[in-house]
Amino acid sequence: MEKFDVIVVGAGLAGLAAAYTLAGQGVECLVLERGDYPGAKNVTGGRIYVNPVRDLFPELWPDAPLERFIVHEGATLMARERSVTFDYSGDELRAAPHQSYSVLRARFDRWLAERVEEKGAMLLTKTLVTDVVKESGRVAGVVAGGDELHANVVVAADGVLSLLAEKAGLHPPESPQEYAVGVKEVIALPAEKIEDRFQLAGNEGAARLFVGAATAGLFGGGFLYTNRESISLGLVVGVAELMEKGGLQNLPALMEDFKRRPEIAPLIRDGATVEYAAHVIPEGGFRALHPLHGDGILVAGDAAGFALNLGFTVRGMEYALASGYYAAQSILKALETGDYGAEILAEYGRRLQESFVLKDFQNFQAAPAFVKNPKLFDYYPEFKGRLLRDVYAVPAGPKDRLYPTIRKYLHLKEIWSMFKDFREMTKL
Amino acid sequence: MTTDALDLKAKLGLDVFKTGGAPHIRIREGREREPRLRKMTAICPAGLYSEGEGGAITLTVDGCLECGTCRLVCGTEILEWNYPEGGTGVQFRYG
Repeated sequence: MEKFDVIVVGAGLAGLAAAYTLAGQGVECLVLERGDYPGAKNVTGGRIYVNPVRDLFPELWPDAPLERFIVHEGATLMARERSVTFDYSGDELRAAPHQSYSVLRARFDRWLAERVEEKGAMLLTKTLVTDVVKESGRVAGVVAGGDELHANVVVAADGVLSLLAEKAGLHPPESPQEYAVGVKEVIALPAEKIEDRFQLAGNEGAARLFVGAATAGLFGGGFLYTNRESISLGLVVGVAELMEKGGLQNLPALMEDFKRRPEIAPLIRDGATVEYAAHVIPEGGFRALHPLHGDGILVAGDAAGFALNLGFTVRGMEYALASGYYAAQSILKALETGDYGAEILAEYGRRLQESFVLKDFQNFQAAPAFVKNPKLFDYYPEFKGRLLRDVYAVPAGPKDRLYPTIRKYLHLKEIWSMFKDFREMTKL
Repeated sequence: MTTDALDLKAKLGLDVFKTGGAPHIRIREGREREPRLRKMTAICPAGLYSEGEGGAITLTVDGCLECGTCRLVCGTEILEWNYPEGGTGVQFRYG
């Protein structure tokens, strides 16, 4: 019977990072991927922040097929009839090494998988894993294409729904409260047009987030990232929030409305949509993380819930890469002992706790509640929009004094409620 | 069809799908009128759920983006939910 040291399920960033690290140490490692090629089933918004994982894979980054390094961070409060945008840029974002890049996963994951194979790992695509193999209560392999494949350790890096960890009995099916759904179009545009429209030089890129009417006031937001020769444009909306709307809010129509907004339409003009994708995203933060290990199994990346939305930064891919790396480190230690039980594999959680991964999740435990504040998606965009409308307006007759104009919108009740929201923010 | 529904069909037409295998998501028998299932007619990013005569919800799985939303919304007691067979289903070229 075929037996591997390690079977990694899923050739996404977590799985590939684990396999890269293990194969680099000479561990016999099989990666199973259900897509035609690595990346075929993977979707990002997206942007990757390199700093936290630069030193974990130092030799990878110089040649990595990333899109553009981000030098403009835009945020738009989108009211129904107007919007307020700020744009942060700076020399620190233009200086190498660059902190974040736009990325397209089909291209990136395929490239990373080639590096993993070079290290000696075996990659099997078009292979769906349907179950775990259990022996005396512990995970001892997986079922793929009807065959049992055995391994000392299984790494469940099978993505956000984490069916494998569920089948291993690590967690019950996920609940909609902890997830959002993202839809995205990749819109092809010549590099020159992208650079002109977004004030970019060379390989610089821009990122923009939109909050408010983009999601019809529901938890979530719009996003835009410039790639080399395309724009990634999309919406993310809380699944539970969509359900509460009783099915009245049509998600595909919301995306079309977003594209028609005057803030968006000129940016994508003459662009041709070349792909439409959708994917679920973990939004529950620290509290919603899944159990990270069991007997003979580790859970990494989205499967563990490693995505963190702070409103202004939306992160996941570097947590996936790092969790794969630390899963591999823990497996290397277990291989030395020949014991693959939960106690030995608990090392994985300890390593994550010492790293930026669980430190970030612990430090930002309050983030999911903060970013779900309904006022962020309706009250604040409308308030800010009306305020600026009146500040900038020059009527035919005399202009009203500014302070009374502001006070018109700011009754004591509003000030008190803003103060309470501010206090919530101090928990971040 | 409305303009938006046509837009959606055109958008799905841009994606690469590989056919093969049995439908990977099925509505369990007797659960076709579940309110949670009805919500999917508006939520499904690919617009694959529709309401038929008498309020029964039907699902066409061709064009599925495998996003996972319906599994979260409906749960496995209403949907028999699996990923499509290896090498079939949507194959993102950009992602």
